[in-house]
Amino acid sequence: MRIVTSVFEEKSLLTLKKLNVTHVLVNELNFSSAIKGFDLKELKNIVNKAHQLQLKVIVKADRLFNQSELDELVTFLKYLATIEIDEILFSDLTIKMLVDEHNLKLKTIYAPETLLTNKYDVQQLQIDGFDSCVISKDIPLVDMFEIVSSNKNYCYLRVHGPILISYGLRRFISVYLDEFKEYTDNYYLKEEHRETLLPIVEKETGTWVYGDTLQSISEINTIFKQPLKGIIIDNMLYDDEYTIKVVKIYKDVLEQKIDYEKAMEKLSLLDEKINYTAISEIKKTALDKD
Amino acid sequence: MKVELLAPAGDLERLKVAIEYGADAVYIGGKQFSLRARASNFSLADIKEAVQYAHQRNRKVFVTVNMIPHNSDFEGLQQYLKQLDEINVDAIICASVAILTMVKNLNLKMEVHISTQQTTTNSVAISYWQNKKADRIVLAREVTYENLKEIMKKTTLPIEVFIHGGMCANFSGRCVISNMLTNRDANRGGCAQSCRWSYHLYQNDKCLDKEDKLLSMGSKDMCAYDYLERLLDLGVASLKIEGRMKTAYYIATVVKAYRILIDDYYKNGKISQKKLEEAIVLFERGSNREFFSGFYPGIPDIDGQIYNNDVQANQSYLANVIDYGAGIATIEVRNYFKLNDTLRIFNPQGEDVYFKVTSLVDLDGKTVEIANKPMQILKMKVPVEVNTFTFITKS
Repeated sequence: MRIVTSVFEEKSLLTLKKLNVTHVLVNELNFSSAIKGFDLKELKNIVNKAHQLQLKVIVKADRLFNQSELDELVTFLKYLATIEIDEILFSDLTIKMLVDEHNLKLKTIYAPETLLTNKYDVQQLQIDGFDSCVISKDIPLVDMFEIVSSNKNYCYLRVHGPILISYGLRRFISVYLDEFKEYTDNYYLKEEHRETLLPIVEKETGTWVYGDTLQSISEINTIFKQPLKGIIIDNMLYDDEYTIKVVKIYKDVLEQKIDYEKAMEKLSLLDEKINYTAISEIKKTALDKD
Repeated sequence: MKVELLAPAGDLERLKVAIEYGADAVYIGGKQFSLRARASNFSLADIKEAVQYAHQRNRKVFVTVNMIPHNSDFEGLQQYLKQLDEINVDAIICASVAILTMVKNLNLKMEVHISTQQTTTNSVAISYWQNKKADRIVLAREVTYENLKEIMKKTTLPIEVFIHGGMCANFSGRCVISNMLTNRDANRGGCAQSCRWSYHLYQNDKCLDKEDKLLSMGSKDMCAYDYLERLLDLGVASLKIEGRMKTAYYIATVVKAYRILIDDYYKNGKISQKKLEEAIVLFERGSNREFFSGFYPGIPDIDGQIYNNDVQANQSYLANVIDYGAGIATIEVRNYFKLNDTLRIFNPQGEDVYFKVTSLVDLDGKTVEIANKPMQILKMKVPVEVNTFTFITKS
């Protein structure tokens, strides 16, 4: 089972390696949703450092791409092949088509957030040569397991991290405030009749809205028994210190050093502002008010 | 190849209205497997009748199978697709590669159009669907005109674009705000339109709300008539009007407006100012929300947003005609009007006719001074022949 975590600082690599992390997920700033990550030069450096530690590198490039960006995207993909990243995680199937068209040695992980909700679509991806995929996070765990068992050793499952609930091109914050603000990850929306804080990230290339942070503490042992390709802990809104602590908690649960209750207590103490949704709480959605 | 004007319909009545007012094709939802779960969708028998009605008039019917399906949604799907094919549905609109493949493997004759839910934004992504033998792509609404121009140069697959109607705040198919806040699935027909709600904005603990309005992600509706001529020049295959939940009157006004403009373009090589003004009057009549041109000019700024979602009800539609004979129309009242008001007769073909209500009686022949009971059946004198597709409106 591959264990993938986000990483933002080179100095965290060794610690993550010692915690049995096998792959690190790094954000490229221009082509991903992230506002924290690496530029192209830094990317090459982190790949080298990770490889020295026998850590594999997955680069996240999860935007949707318009026609005028395609040339730049091809250049980027060729660069990724040159610096020998191990896999690329993306939400626009354009990347898979370009990798094939240019015969690039890049392993592809298709992660279209909301679109992979059944085993049949995932089977088609295998037929079409996608190397792996990330199952949508908005379906019940039982559905996820059905997809995984029908597509053995092919799927990644997000087990921890902020849940992306919407992505678009409009710049809601800047438009509302009448000025371009510094891009930071400290903005939140709160619906006028609800208490839930929704982190909102705005970049020149779009806006991403997040819900609660997903956690899988009580289900992690069951998840580990599934024929998954890997699990992903993607803390794109937090830092490495948080990720390292989270990985330790999961490791302790898996090694039966602490029980679920103790693990949840530890998790909630990491940052009291974070609202968690358990993966088991994601219910089958209703189609209508009725 | 002339462009197709593609209209929505939530039921048979609206499908017939769309066709009579000039749609070349109508898209509808079945009772299963379709988004817009509340759009009073069609049974198989309804779909059959719809297809017969359309085909007799040389028009087409597309059925949406456009939910992003879960494992259990595939139960009965193959049988359903076969049934749609047997009753000669022209195409399905789907958002799943598995469903596309299923139709192709079954050798069904109906086309498969890839839904905007798949967020196709460039020619390379289109080539994926072309390789899978899709027959048409519905582009994401986020494609700008400049990007569309380049896409059209680089693809041979027929391209469908939106021209009119409601807009998602974010990429359709990639948004689950509704799921998160209401447990109603945006991608399986239950969207609560949570993007249109009002939100407080914080940076860390500091509230950034403006005094007069909270933040909303809600979009103005699209009305891209100012790009119509350019879209027709590009050779897009189909112009789509959004709104399977809209009223028959809305569909009639919008479809007729675009029919006027498209016909003028093909007749004269361009759209005249006179026809444009005629169409704008119709757009304004049918709508109760503000318009903009969508993403065609570029990424929308504040002119594309609505911060106050208090939509005023459109009350210009006063009655529909359920029967006609000897200068007397039997009507079903929808909104308030009274004796001696000047009203308008809005027909599928021809210009509007204005008349004064000189005679208004109930079914017992008793004079009615004020028509203010919705769905009440009344009879009134009209100056021209009308039919069941006629709308009586405010003048």
